[in-house]
Amino acid sequence: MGLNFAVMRERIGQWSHLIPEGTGDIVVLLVQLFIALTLIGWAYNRGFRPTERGPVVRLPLLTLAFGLSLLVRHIHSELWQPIMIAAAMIIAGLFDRSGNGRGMGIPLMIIASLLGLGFVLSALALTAVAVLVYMFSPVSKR
Amino acid sequence: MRKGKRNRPNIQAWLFALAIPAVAFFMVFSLMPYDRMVSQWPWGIGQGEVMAYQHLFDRRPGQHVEGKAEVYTLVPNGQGQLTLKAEEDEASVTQVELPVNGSTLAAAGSFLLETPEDRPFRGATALAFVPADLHSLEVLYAQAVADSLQIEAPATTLVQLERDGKAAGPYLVQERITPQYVLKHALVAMALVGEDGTVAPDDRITTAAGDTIGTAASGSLMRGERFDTTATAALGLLVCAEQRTDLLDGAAGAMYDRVTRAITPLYRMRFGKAEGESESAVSTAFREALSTDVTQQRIARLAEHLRADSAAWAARFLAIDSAAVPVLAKGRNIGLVQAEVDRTRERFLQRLFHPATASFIGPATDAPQQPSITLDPWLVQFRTNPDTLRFVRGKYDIDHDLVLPAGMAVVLERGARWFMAPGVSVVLNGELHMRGTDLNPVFIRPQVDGQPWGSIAVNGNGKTRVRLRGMRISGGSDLWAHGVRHGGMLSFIRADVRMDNCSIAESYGDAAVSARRGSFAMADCYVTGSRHGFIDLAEVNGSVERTGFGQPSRGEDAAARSGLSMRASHILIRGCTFADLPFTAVRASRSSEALVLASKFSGNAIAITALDGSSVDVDGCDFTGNAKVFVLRRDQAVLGGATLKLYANTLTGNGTEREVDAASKVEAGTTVDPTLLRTFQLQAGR
Repeated sequence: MGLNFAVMRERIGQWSHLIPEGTGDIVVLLVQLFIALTLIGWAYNRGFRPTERGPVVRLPLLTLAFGLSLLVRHIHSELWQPIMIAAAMIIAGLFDRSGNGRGMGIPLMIIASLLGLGFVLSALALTAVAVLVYMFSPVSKR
Repeated sequence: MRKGKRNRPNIQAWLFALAIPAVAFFMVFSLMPYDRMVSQWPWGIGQGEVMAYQHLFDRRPGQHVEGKAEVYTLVPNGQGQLTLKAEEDEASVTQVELPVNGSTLAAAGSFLLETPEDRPFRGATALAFVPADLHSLEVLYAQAVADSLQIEAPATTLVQLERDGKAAGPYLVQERITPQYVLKHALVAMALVGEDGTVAPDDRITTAAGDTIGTAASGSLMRGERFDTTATAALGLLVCAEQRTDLLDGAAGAMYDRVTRAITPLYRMRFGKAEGESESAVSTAFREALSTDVTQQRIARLAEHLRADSAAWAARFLAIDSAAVPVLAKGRNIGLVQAEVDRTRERFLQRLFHPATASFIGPATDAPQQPSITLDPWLVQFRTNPDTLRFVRGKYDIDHDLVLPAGMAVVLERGARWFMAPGVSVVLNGELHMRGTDLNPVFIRPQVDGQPWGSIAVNGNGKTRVRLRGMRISGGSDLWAHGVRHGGMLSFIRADVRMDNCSIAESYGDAAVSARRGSFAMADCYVTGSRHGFIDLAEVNGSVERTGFGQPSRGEDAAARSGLSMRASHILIRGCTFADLPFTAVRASRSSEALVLASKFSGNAIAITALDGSSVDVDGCDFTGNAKVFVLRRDQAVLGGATLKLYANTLTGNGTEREVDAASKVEAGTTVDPTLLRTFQLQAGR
């Protein structure tokens, strides 16, 4: 039995209006952050022994970054936007002082801010730079 | 085994990490075809960001374009103000923030320059400056479309701005819509609607009581059904073509027509970025007007009409590109600019020819039905045809207001006599014919002497005929009918009026005869005894010939009164007599044009007054014993001074012959230009 795409489209159309406006953009933002975090996390983990590696996607970091990008995206105040970004940097810097040395919180917060501001290409460039920096910098074994 | 730890990245890591993406970007942006570069990028990558990277990383060889536009210079003049110069024109201006409606963020670098009202810059008292780039092409396209549609839109100019001797780049300059703009560009009866949805009261000449039918404020002024459908549809199409939510919110404002009570939305260029919807009296009513099925069908028809001419529109936009792109390119690579321009034009044309009304404006709703007028029971006996009421020879007492249905004509045959009760009016929404003769005239008289009746008013459609012959009328005043002022004992709006062999005596209203927006021909009549004005014409084409204007024995407020008053009209005055009027005999204002031939002016306070951009040609006239003969003045700076051309006239025993201000001028000639005669439908030799 073949798929009836017209009926499917009609059904999708019937339900799609229930989804709030702008949901698609937010999902895309989340996916972008997820990909950036995955790439950076993978590069970050390289160099560590398999037993020392953390998860590739760090969920608290993803949550914080997603929250920041949502706030930056929806609050356009010239005062509050930089304050929010600076606060997120400080919090991420504190989180980064873990046992593995310098973490990837700060670059991810910058990427989240760029994505929130709509600078997707710049976020992509920074992701590439972060991945390469982590790949080229050694992990000192104690 | 001890745990590993990340150190600070070393210099090599930074070098490679920065160099590799940089090389990648260099390759991508130097090799990618421009048409691909300016098209839609995935993942929400914006064009602005792509262009910034292109500027940084695109190193391919190519031509770079730079163009020229008119240069506006702004320099401080030492009094806390600026001097704006462009070619020969110069004005002292004050810079203020560009006013935008609630939800809009003004574009960075935009500003407003205001001049004193009496010293405008090129006729404008407020100019909006918005920085221009390639996206501004859409503004210029939209302006071209607006110019072709029936919507009022200030002209937009692309200029190069220099501030304090430094180039500030290209700017779009547009006159701001102010009361002065409306005065200059709109019909006489138009008034700018305020942000609170109200308009300034009408500057009525007199305070005569007159008659009133209905109320002026039957519900709110700003209602969806009051919006002019043609202008609303035109603006709706531009809203869709430009995807502008600020226009949906009535950012450009609206004008109120005091004659038809219609509201006409206005168009202006984008001043910034709309961040959301804003609620105001105009926006709510405008959205209501746009959402009706009638308006949305009109938008679709307009788009279809433009689409039928798509090749011409594409050519017109290309012409705009060739003039504006070199200025807007700001020295960028011509290949990229061309690709971006092509894409901008195609997208605009797509949105213009296929407006997404349902998704951008909203789903269509049913338009409210207008209540129809029913025929007064007393009039049924005079109905000789389905659309005609005929009054044959006889006496008729009109003792209550009569408002006739649309299309219903009234005929008064010879010998018909209407006796009007005090404060009673007749409003026709169709043709009016009076067929009196010298022996058996048609009479319109008051039932009680000294107690004025209202008005006989005709609301036409532009072609509605009014033919009055052999009429004797007196004792009327004027009328407010559902908020529309009929400013005369006889009042005609949008009608084709012909009057001959009529006698118009004592009237108590603003004028004895008032005509607006139509044609008017009066011949062999006599007008006398008005308490205020005699004949008041606004936006009328026509003639007044062989007509006498006599001195009223009573009257007040002589300064504002006139025998024949014209505003924005084109009138031939030939063979008329203006005798002993203690006020102005002929007044031309609001850019009127008048040709006065073979007429006599004797013993008047002022024979001819010309104001505010009006032009009066006078030939073969006799001026005797007038206190002043010609008064030329500029009352509204934006309209300019008046012009008087004098040919072969006789002036005898007058007081002051010419009173002319600096903005006005008097010229002398030998014969009237045949071209001018033709505009008044006359031949040389007349």
